[in-house]
Amino acid sequence: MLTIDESREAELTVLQLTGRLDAVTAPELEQRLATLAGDGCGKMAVDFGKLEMIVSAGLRVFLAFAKKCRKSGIRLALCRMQPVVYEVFKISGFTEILAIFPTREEAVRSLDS
Amino acid sequence: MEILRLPAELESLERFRKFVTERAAESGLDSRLIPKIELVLEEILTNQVMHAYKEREGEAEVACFPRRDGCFCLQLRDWGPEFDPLKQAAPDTAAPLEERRVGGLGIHLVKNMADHLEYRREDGKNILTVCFKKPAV
Repeated sequence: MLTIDESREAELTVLQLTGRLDAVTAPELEQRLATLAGDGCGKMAVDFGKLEMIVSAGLRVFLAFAKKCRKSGIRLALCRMQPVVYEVFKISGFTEILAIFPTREEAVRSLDS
Repeated sequence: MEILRLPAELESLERFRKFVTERAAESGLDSRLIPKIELVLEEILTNQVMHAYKEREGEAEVACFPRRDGCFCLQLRDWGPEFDPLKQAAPDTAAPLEERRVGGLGIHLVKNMADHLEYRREDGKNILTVCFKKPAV
């Protein structure tokens, strides 16, 4: 199960993920991100605070989306990962290519700088 | 040894996951290890669905058992063509974003999360054994 809560403020979109990002739920997130990018979202923060687990299918979604953001000028920041989720990003080397912050405030601030 | 056999399809993931996490909890495993075991199980099962059977249907089997040294072990079996996931090329985890690819990440995670991994082909089956050490208290 994955729940995606969305809030928007001017050009900033914040997504809050709850549950599990696995092979079954990854396509839902992929679709939501594609829709947001298509809507001309300029800045996006993804809050992982309530995400219990991520597998490679979920990493795949973020890798593809980060590439799309780079091309289309969308600024992306991730935040509040639980230790096991952060470990998955770290082992995969994704902590080197994605902006990841401990708090939502820091993530949002990074998008303004 | 407790065994669960189900069709090798994404819809079976949840039941396999429940089966394994219950066995892990019964064995007194540290609850911090459970997410790692779930990740390993799911990566291997999705690999099986994608590689072992591709478009055709088949079954996968998961067994849970303790090893003599106290490790908690999973054994995953399928009847697809020979496929050794441990021989997949390692992903380049240091490449810049533009050049980064996702192939092989799943098995890379499995190798990092598990304490022991072993593949063998036997009687027309792919058999992958994965063990987790109980963390020292």
